[in-house]
Amino acid sequence: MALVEIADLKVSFRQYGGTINAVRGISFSVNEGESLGIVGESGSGKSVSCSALLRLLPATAEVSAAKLELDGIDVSKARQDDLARLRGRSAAMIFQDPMTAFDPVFTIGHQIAETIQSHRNVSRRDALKEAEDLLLRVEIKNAGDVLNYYPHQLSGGMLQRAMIAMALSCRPKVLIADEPTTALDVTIQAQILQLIKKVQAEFGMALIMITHDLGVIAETVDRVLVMYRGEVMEEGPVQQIFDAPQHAYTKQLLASLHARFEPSRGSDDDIPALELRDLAKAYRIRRRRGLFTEFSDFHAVREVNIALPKNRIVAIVGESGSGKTTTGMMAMRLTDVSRGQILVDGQDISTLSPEALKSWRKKMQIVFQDSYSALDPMMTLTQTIAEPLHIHGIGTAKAQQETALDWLERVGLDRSYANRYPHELSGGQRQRVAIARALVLEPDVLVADEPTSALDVTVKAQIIGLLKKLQAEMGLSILFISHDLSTVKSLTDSVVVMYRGRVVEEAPTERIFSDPQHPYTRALLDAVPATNPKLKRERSFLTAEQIAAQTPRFTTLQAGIAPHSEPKLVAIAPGHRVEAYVTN
Amino acid sequence: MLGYILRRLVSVAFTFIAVSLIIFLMMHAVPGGPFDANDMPVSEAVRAKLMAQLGLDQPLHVQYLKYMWGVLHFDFGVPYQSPGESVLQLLSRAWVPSLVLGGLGVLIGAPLGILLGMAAALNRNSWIDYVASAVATLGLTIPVFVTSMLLILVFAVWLKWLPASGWPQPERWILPIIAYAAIPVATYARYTRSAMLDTMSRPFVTVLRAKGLSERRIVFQHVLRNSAIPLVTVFLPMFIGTATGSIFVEAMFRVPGLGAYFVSSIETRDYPLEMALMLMITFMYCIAYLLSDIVYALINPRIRVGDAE
Amino acid sequence: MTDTLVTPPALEAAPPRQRSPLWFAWQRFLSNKAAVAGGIVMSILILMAIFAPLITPVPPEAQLFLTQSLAFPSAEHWFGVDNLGRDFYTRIVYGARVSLSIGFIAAGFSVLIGIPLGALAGYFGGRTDWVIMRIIELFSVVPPLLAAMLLGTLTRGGYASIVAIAALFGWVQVCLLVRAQVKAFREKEFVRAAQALGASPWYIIRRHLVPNSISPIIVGFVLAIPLAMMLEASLSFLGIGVPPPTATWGQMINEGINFMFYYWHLALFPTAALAITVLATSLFGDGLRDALDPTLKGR
Repeated sequence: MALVEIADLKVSFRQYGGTINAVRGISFSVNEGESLGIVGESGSGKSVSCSALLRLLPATAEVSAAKLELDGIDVSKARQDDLARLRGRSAAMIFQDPMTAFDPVFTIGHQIAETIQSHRNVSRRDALKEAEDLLLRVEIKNAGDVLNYYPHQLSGGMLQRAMIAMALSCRPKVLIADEPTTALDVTIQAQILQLIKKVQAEFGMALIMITHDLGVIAETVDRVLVMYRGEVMEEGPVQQIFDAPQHAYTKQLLASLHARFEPSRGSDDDIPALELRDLAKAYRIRRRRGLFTEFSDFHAVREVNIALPKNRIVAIVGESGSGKTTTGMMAMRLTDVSRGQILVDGQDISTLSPEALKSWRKKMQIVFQDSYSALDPMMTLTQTIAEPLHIHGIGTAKAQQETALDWLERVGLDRSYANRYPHELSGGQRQRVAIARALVLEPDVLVADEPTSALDVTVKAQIIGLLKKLQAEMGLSILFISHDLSTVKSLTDSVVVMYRGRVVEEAPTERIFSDPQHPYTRALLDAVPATNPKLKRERSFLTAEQIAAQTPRFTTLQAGIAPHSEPKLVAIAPGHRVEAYVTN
Repeated sequence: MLGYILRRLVSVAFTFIAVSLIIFLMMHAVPGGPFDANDMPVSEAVRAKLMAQLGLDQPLHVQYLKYMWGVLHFDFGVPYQSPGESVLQLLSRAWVPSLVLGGLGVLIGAPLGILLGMAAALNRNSWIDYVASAVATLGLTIPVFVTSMLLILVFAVWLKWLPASGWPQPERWILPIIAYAAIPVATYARYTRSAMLDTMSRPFVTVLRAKGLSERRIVFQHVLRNSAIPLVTVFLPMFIGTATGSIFVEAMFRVPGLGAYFVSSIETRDYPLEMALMLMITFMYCIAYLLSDIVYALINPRIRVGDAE
Repeated sequence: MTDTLVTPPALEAAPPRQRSPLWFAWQRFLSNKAAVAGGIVMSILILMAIFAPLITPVPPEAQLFLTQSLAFPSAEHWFGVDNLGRDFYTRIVYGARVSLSIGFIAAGFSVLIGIPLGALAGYFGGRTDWVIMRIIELFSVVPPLLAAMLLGTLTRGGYASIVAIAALFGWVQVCLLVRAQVKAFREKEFVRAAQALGASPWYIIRRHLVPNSISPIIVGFVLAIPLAMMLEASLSFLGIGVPPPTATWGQMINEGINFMFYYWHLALFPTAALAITVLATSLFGDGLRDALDPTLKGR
């Protein structure tokens, strides 16, 4: 008998104006010890199906199924106390955002201990002891301390580990992981995925991994279910899905994984379209410690030097805390610069007043990540696209409207969308409008800050394609800020790697991927999930100290610059620089 | 924390001084003095002498500074309308009925309101919810003098069950306390309901269910703790507001409390009394807000324990 | 290397228009029966106030029925006659004019003061916000009724000063609502995009932030109305409101108390009128707030 048995599950949500059919009759089963991956984009119904299994859906949901069984018990007919027993013991669930998954007013230890105590009859002391053991098993070294921490005191990665510990506390038979690593950095993601596999083996659990990321699927599961709009498109062993997909949608998903583009044509002009010299940003922060507050400087960005040649795409890659977004914001002068210069086509704009800066704004524009808030909900699409023209007083109202409509088509939306509002569009469509708004003034430089990170996989590829096409047409220079290495690999010409506010390596894209020199770059590349199950592997992870220890060392002779106590960028090949210590 | 408290104290002090200045100026801007009432005609000479005696002939800023100096020593002067005692004595006497009736109103009303709000939140969209919401809305929107009037009309005039004046025997207290309790009941019912519904819609509650905790535990341990914060912060200001007596309730039920004296002090231009009343009440509000902030800081672990590692 | 993408159907004609958030808000409002009832009652009252001369037999100040003073309600005088020989029904209806007009006008002024201050505090933060919050604090610690009484004595009542006083104590709520909304929207990407385009703060506030604050503004306006009406009634009740012989409910309640123990109709009708008006307006305002609230708590 299978552990999880679902047949013809249908879930719909009642709403004013109709119902939404989130799940339209899917069936699958999971046996003990198996690993099943459910992959799909947003709206596919993958999360809803598993929530339905534990009856965690809100009251507005209508659930019906021919069979909905967990551990032999019919979930749809179970009483409240049966359900409470099932949840946590038969199946445990971990969620995407660990910060909102914990109760903010209780300590971690309390929350793990209460899970244990609600399923078994143990004393509080024993429960806390077990909690500490669990925290150690999820590789939290200072487990004793963490027991007394509140959720807001831990980082995302640590909280996710704590959530896993909490899920394991009752020895569940199946672990349901709902996008557990989507909100985490790449290196942390790799660690958490490896941890999940490890505990799965140690505890002998089955695993249901829900994700939109095919790489995660390749790394963690044996069987795959592909969902789209509430239905199963394809099902099969993981290797088969990757090597020989049957359904058109699966093929489309895989194709997006492997998209490639032509390189940019570049330009003969030596003056970079955008150059950042010794750019730095320090924040004054107040930390409360007991009775007092202490002030310290937080260096978000420490003297970066980046050059964006004309008609090229340069990526700034890094994880959270690397300073890449701050750098992009400073380049656009949306954040004040602490030190350094910003040169646009050779001219320093870092000290210009807002009035003087206004005319320069026409030459550089920005596209953001979160397309939900990228467009003013109260303005129509044409108004949004025409706004830049309006602010700079270019053309009559009629001319502005025409230009806006032209741009609407240019980014791939039909003219009939003209009077629509943002809420009527999908994420990808909104991002297209954001791009149109950024480019309507025909700038020379475009800063793209994680423009596709919030989008579904297939849409991501379309938007990247659009950017590439427009770049070629307009001769744009793009500074592409991202943490998504696979996108960077397909789109960009050269890569700048940032770590903790500094540039640690920069090189043409092929070289970065084929011959990374800096230990951080290597760790980053190593952490990227495999693109095929054949390629999945065990990884070892470096701590910050290990990264510092493995920083390359050169002598003055090799480096060509004077010795320095701090690591500096050293050129080791044309266009390839690495941060290294320079000694005598 | 200590720094936070000190900063708030300073802010409170400034607000207090600013308010005292404004009130002082406003009071003296009202034309006329204490001797304009028709029932106390005095000759010019006597009037001038009395004004000098009371220090009313001196320039305003001198009067103000002298007065504030006295305030720091808890000397609020002597009320014009009953010169036999000091303002402080009069107010201490007058405050008792207001404190008793208003205080009891809040202390009875708040828990009732919380229970009502909890029942509404846990039985959403049922008849309990509608009744609770109706009670809350009525309590908040119907002015207190309307409530008092209706209570008197129904219970004292028509049914003749309860006496219509509210002091001093305890059985006379019932109607005024009900009148006072209306706002606390309504406020707490509404706040509790919305705080609980808000908490219950947060992601961590789904996680708690997924862990297999019983619904009872989820509500009473987790939801209540998280919902408590707005309830606690609203308590002190509400208590102060009610325990200082409502002008209307005291007028309707003929209670000799602070409210009654406030009206009379304005009508008779009794500067010391007016000033003292306004200052006292303002000061109590300031302290109430300050204490609420402190309690909030203590309850909220983000502030108590400090920022993230 | 060629583009190996599967071309998506992106250029198809736009799909049929979806429901706007406003439609959903309207539906939510309609499902709140109390709010709808409140709205209907309010509309009736407003119509009554506007068409007062048409639905009343005599002018409100005319003391035509002195021989029948203090008469109880009858077919001839629906609400009876007051102590000065005036038809009580007429006075109640004209009282609606005073209360409603003061309510709406004062609320209007509250909004006019509250929006700019809230927008400035929310957008600029820092010093500006600190100053405005200190001002709000000042207004919060002073017991509003007492301060209003003081101001009332200062100005000796009168229609205009009552409106001014009510506006003075109502703007704080609107300001806080707008400030919260502006703060929330300030970090949104479309605001940053406008900044990146070189738009001035004033343009951004005017073009982006205020239009997106429409719902708290409407809610603030509608909820300020009952507060203003109650303030006016309280002040009139204490004798420092709109002076006689203008009919106002607060005054009528004040006088009615003197006759309460026997001639109860003089106290009951103005009280009921005030209570119903305030209740209807509050229910309507609450319903609006719940309907326009995008976070949909408790749905």
